[in-house]
Amino acid sequence: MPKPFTNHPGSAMHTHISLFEGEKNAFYEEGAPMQLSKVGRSFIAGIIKHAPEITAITNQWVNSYKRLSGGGEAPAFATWAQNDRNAMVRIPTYKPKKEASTRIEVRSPDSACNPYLAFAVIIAAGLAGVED
Amino acid sequence: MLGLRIEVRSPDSACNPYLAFAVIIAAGLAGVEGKYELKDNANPTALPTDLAEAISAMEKSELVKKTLGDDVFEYVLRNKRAEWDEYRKQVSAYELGRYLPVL
Repeated sequence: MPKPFTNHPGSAMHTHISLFEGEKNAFYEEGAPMQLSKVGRSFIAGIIKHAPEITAITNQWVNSYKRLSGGGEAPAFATWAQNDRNAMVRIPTYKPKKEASTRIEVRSPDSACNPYLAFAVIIAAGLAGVED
Repeated sequence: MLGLRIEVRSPDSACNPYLAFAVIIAAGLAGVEGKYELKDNANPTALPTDLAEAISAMEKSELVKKTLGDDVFEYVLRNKRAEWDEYRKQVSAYELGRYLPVL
């Protein structure tokens, strides 16, 4: 259940995503801010832009919105950040020689979602950002 | 003839009657002064379904702003936003009964 207690943080389904072109992590670019490539930034932009319309899939219960009502390290706005755990998309800190681990974390989905549908719309939103 | 009147059935006992009468009369008079046409009820406008929708509609309303004055208008909105913000976070007995056994 996404939010069983009003005054305690809820249960989420934080989803870490990276994108590969063959063996190469397409989100990694050496020397870029946060080592995040243009593809990575566009992918995040796609998720942010399409956030409202995919939320009924990623957060499908009435109770889901008790979790997304501000606080409890859950997002209430379509934002991105490196460390802020109230952001919808977080970019985990790059660790040296861990190019393959470069990834983003989507923090809005919760445990009540259908993961097949949720992954489909999250990836579609991100890819729309890359392709458009 | 003196008894001819209309009855507005939406207001409830929780309203501030001073403000409620002011906005109801202002809305009616705007209809008179603007010569609004009374249409049939074929495609009625839905009333707001919760306080958040009602607040959003009021935020955009020049009529309410003008009728209540800037100070009261802003005060009421602030007060109602705070009420909604507290309410929307409450996990209800219904949710625990419906969702907790599933997940």
